Amino acid sequence: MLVSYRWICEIAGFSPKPEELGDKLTFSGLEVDELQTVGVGFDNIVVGVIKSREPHPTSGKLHCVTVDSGSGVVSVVCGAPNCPGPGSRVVLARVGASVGEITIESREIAGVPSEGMLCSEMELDIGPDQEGIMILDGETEAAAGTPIDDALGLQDWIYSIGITPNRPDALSHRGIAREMALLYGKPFDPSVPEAAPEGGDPVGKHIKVDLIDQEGCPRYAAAVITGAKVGKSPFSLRYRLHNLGVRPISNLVDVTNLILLEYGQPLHAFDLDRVADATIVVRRASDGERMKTLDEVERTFTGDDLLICDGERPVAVAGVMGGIDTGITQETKNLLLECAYFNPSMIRRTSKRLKLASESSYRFERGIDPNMADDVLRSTTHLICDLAGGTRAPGPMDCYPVPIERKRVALRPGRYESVMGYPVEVQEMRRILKGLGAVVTGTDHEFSVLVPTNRPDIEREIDLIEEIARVVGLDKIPSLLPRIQSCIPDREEYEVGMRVRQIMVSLGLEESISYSFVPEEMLVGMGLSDRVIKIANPLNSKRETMRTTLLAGLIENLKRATTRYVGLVRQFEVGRTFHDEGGELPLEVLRVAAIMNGSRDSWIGEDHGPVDFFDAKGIAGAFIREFTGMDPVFEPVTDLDYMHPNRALRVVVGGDDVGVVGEVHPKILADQKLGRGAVGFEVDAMKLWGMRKISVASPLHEFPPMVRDVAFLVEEARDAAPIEDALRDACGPLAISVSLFDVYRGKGIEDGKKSLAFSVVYRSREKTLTDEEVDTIHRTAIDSITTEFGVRTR
Amino acid sequence: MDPQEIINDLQKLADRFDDSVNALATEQQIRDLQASFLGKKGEVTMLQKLLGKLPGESRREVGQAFNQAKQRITSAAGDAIDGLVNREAREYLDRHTDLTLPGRAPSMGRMHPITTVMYDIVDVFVSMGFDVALGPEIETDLYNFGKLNFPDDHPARDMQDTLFIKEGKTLLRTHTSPVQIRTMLEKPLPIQIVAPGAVYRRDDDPTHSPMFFQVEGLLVDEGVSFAHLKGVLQAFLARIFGRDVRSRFRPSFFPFTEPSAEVDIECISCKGAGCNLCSGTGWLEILGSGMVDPTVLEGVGIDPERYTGFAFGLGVDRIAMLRYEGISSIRLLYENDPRFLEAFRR
Ligand SMILES: [Zn+2]
Repeated sequence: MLVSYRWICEIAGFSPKPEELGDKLTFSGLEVDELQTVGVGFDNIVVGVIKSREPHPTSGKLHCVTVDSGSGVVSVVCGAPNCPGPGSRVVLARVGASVGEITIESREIAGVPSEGMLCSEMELDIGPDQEGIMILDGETEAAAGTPIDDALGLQDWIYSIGITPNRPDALSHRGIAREMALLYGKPFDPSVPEAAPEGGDPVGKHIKVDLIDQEGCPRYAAAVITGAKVGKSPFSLRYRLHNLGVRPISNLVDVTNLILLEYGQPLHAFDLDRVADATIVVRRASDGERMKTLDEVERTFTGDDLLICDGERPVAVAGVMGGIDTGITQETKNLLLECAYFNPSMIRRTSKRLKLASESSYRFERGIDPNMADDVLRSTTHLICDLAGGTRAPGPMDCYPVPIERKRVALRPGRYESVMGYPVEVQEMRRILKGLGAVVTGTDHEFSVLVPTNRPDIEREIDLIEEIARVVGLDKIPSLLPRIQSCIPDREEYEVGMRVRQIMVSLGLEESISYSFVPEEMLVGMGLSDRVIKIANPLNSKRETMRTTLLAGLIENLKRATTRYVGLVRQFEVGRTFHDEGGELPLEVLRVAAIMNGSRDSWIGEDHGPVDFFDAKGIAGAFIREFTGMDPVFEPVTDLDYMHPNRALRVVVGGDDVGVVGEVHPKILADQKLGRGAVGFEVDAMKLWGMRKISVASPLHEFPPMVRDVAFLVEEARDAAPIEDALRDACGPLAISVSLFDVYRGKGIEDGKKSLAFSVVYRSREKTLTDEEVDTIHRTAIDSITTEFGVRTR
Repeated sequence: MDPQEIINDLQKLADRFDDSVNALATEQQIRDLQASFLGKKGEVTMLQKLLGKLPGESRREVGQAFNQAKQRITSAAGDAIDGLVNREAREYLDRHTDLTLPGRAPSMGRMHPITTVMYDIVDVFVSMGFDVALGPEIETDLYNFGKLNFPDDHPARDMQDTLFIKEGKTLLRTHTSPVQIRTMLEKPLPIQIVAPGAVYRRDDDPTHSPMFFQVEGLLVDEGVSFAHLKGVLQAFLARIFGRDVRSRFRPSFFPFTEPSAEVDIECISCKGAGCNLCSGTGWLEILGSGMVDPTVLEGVGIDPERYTGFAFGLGVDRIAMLRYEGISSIRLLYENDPRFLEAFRR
């Protein structure tokens, strides 16, 4: 909310330094985001008095005037249509003045010398009016040459304050002025508005109010003014509204806006002559009822919306916006001012449902003071009659069947100390509560506090404690370290996540954190859109579906990197995937996934080629071994839409399916306009963690190893692993390692065949093996393989 | 056969070996040459077969000559091999290498800057005795709002623009605060936890990401006061931003704490003088905090007369952006550009 420093000082009756006041407000909970000085920088811009006015000799649109500048009479050529005659006060920018971007110089305009410029509000940035120059008659009596900021009292400081939802009282200049008085320890004693002149029929002759829905509208007060004349507000009022971000419209409308800013009470002004049957009915809408609001939109209502109606039709959405047919126009003479208190929740629901928020609904839904209608109507009618003429119809018009009383709340000063950790003098507490407008009775051990109705947020002892704490200042509170009870740590999932990250990082991959929501079409393309969770109000269609796989985000990273000409990605991600299992909340699974593309590590003149399936398989295997102490088993898989049909394997650990490793299906990559060749894996981290084995160190071998190699000539289609497994069995317990070390095709090998070369390490823990022992075992093992697989050695 | 003639032949053989051996380039050639003199069918060996035919008195003299010749050849071969090794060693040492070529660096893994910062934050509290709790990222409206004292139809709900799964029922959690509720419902008192994790808001601009990370803290016990909140948070700020960091507590509003405070630290860039980072104020808003609202405690069955507590929450992204320079937009953190990720050392 924008707040005028000058205005709150006027209300509070004293003027501290603007910056100091800003700090005090911030540290009492009204955070000043910005403090801006306005109405300064008008050097050489002064009140000028027109001495003479002649038409320009050649141009019909221009006038040649002479102006008393306070330091001599100057000639000025003026193009404004409203250029006034002798005796009028205008704003003169003398030679040397800066007006917006322009510096005023002596120059000729259409052949006539001009030594200055007569300015409009817009040119001086003190109002929106650009129709013509400012004419100060009636605004100031200041002598020619008086600086314009002095003559019009322009200087002010505008605070931009972020008001939290618990402080509806601070949504007005009076509320902030009250806070200001409290913070400076001064009494708050604002002036009581004068009464408007009364005349004509009593208000009851002009209007009948039928308050049907008391739940939605606990209070409906009104006033009638007859014989007013719509016109322009005086500059001082328009300037104040302008600085506070409100566009001046006409005296009647400007006054209601000014009162809103002063008291925080939204008012609605109806043109009384357009209110049918001189009747106001406050009732719920019927389902489907319609009305066109001031913004010219046709609105449809439900039975939960509160409407203000006349004898025939709805004329306003209560507390939100008026209807277009009964609003104030240039012709309005008689007006009905509505000053009501509406149910905050209902106003909020209506405003949400209609997606229509206004200054009015903003305040009603936070809760205004229901008991300020008398002052507000008095102040409003006085100001309108003062500016627009007319008289107030005598008598009260106030439907307030069940007055809203002040709440009584108990406060134990001792409780304050135990919650805040330091004491405040009982007298100081009483002073602060009184400064809030509360009445404090009771003992020094337990106050009985009668809370003012402008503070609907104060309902409990803790609310009073907060009020005292914020006024005293949180900086007064000492810092203490609490005694913390030791606890048995219970943070498995957190630690698992960190452990996974450490291992993946040590394998040379960078961690990605990508959005948990992904485009649904991506999951559909991957065949992973089953039991998917969708966001009801997504930001856009790219972010509408919760991921069922971490690979989706990683593929998006790949795409982003590629469009930015980064050809190498080696990333992993640890995070949750989301699956609808039919419960209220979805299943969230902690997974780890990786993706890689581009070339392997290489060096000048070397090329180790691009990464392929085996890089992914190697990293997945290394991760699982390090994470669980178990060897993964890789089994064939063919039913995955997102992996290459012949280059993907299911990862199985301890007999349990834990994930997939493979080359991403070229179709999925093509959908993202990516070339083929990205590889990756995804496994269930918590599942794996549950399977981990305790690491056991075996004694190191003492006796020397004996190494024997063997190569088998096999059909191209035969896989290596079954032969390796069989060889391992056949070589027996002395073979501590059996590993494939070469796959050879080409010279010396017939077409359609390949050579698989294995290395077997024999080693005993008891003795040094002899050549003869090892040769015997090795030969027998080879024979059993050639027989079992029908292959021969090479 | 004249013994003297044999001795002369041996002399000539040894001389010939000397002449030949130094011209050889490899150890194998030297060994081969040696074998052609001293091996089974070597010239010296063949000559030695005549030894038995000599008269007894000259046999001794000739035998000595054989030994000398063999020794000469063996040691000449040894010297030649040594010379060869020395020459290789010298050549190896003298060989030129272009040391200006770049080194071979293995590709290195790194944690995401968010993870690094989150870990550091959690670590401070864990070392103070807090445990770590996590919760679901998709939450019920009840735990995300209701139990945290956000009434239905209350403007406080506007403070957090929500992504819903089912409007009014389930949603992407807007803060880590529901973990407070879950922990208080499940764990015995006293409670001391921090809860790191992803949270979601319906915001997307250079200063707001629809997903970001928070760390929530909660301590509930007998006799906990706002002074303890200040003590713990100041200790935390000193660990993260340095011992001399200045901080200030400003009254604020959160539905689930009362009294509530926002905590600012003195701008780490300008040390309070005012700069772009702090919008000229000299201060940076760093976390939100307060005493747990009695309504929240009652809602989870804790007696607010007996127990009090404090809670706080901070944005990990914000701290990451303060700790690392050059993160111009929060959204960069979630684009995972390899060039961006490579820039962050621990
Ligand atoms: Zn700064």
